[in-house]
Amino acid sequence: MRNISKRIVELSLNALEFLYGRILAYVAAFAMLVMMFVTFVDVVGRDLFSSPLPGGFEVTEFLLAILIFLGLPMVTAANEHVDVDLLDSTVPEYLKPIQNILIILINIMCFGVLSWMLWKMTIQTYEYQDTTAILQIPYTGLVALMAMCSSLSTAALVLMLFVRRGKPLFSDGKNQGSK
Amino acid sequence: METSLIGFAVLMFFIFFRVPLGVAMASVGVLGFAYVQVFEFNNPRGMDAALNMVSQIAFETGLSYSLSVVPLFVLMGNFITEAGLSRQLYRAAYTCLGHFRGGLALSTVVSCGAFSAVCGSSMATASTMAKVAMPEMRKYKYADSLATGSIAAGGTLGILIPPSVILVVYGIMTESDIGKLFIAGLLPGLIGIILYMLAVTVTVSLKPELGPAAEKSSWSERLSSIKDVWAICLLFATVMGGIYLGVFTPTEAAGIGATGSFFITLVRGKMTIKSLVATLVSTVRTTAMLFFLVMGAVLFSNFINIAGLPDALKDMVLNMDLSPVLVIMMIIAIYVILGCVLESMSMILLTVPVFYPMVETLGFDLIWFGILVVVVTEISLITPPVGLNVFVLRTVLPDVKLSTIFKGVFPFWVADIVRLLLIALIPAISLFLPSMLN
Repeated sequence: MRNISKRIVELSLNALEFLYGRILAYVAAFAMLVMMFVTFVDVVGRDLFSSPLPGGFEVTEFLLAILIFLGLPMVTAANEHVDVDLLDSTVPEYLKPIQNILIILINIMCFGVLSWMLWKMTIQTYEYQDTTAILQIPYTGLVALMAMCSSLSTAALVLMLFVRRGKPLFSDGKNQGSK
Repeated sequence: METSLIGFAVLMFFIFFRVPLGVAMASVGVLGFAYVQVFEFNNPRGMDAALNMVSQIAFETGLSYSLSVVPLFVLMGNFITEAGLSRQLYRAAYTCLGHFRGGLALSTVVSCGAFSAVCGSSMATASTMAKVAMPEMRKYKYADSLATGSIAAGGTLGILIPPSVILVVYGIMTESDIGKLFIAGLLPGLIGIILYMLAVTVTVSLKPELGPAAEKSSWSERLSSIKDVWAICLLFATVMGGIYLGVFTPTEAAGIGATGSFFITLVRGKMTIKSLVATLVSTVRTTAMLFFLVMGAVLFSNFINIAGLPDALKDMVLNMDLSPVLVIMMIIAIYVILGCVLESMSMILLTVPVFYPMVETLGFDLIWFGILVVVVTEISLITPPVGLNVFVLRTVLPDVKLSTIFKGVFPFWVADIVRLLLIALIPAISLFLPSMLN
């Protein structure tokens, strides 16, 4: 029985790792690449052919928001947010688990509020049908994506609390991001 | 004023409790904002206002056009690293300087400076150059102290020589022109390189055994090594020249820089689909992490602003009729102390919103102050106990003792203090180039 539940947890963690570290990450990587070319084409078009990309900066803004928020669950699950571990060596060993749990609870609260407020904002932008000024891109989808990614980050933190006791969620130690 | 001081105290507690910095700043910022609204402004809906601020700030920061320079410049640095350019930069510097006494350390400093010109992060500069420069210096029996010291110190140039992520964030917080900030960083960066070279020269003339000379390279070797790096020099010249001449905005320049380095990597045959994806993903990670930090900082600075800390400080300084120079010296002292415990980006995010209104009222130029703050931050990167660059080196070179690195860093630290004084006393060093800007 125990083994089965362990197996289920393992499988779902693998699925999540695939979602955060591959699907979200690769979409974000693509957004990054597109953003690079959009700014480039915008400048070259304007300076050399005096025909800038219409609404290019709006696209850049959207891509920026997309890549930040898609990256957030990955960074959160890997515990890569900047922290100060200067006093770590002074914390007695038996208090460390408690410290980790408290930290993660504060994290969950913070990301939870962020997700909640972003979902509220999604409903608002949907009701008002807000769009960008030039290209008339509706904001709703973007804000929903931001809310979704914050929720995924919160989920990662909740799992870290229950499954990993505050340790990084995915254990293969792929800490390639620079801190 | 008292509220914001309590806020700061709670924040410090959170930070040293190892709550991630962005989370700590955001929570204290939101709760503090709500507290001030409810109890000081008698706004019964204060909590709602504070919570709405969260999504509003997340949205505005996420969609901020001027902040899009950050991922683009980070990407540029990552591509350049991927292209193996650090090695070639080092070789170019080495063929020209290697035959002097302490020449390899000189080359390290120069190539760190050159690498900084395409990379906006000090830690990235230090860890990249360590992998290239350290084996060479070991081969020629350089003392570990001089070798690691020159890498750690040279690495700090990453945040001053444009493009610099920290200068972008400073520019956004103080609403200063990012292009001007970049241009202003050029001369102080150059002075930094020169003073570091002096530090090496003095060190080896006192103790020649620390850094023996290598054999002299021939002119054909020199030319061939320089041929390897011309593309990158051209890229840097385009990016900075374009900003300087006002041909493009910093964001556009960053787009050109990133695209240019993409093609340089591609042409050199250093790019595979796998490495491209890895570079992009690592850029996304860095960006997500940085933006989360910036969002937290904006929330926190909104709180201290409505709690009136910057204004109170401003009034206090004006009432006490302190001499402006004294105030600047005090601010520098605060940064040096804070730098002992905080990491550079966090330090800037926390302190700049508090200080800059006061500095502006005293009649100082915010561009100059930005450069000053970054130079102090650079010093904190190599100052014990938290000197971050030193720790980065420790992770790249686990066999070198921490105390050895700190010992080796000392001459460079002295050079940094000299540079800090120069920049503080002669504002023209930072302001001459931007004043020529059209």
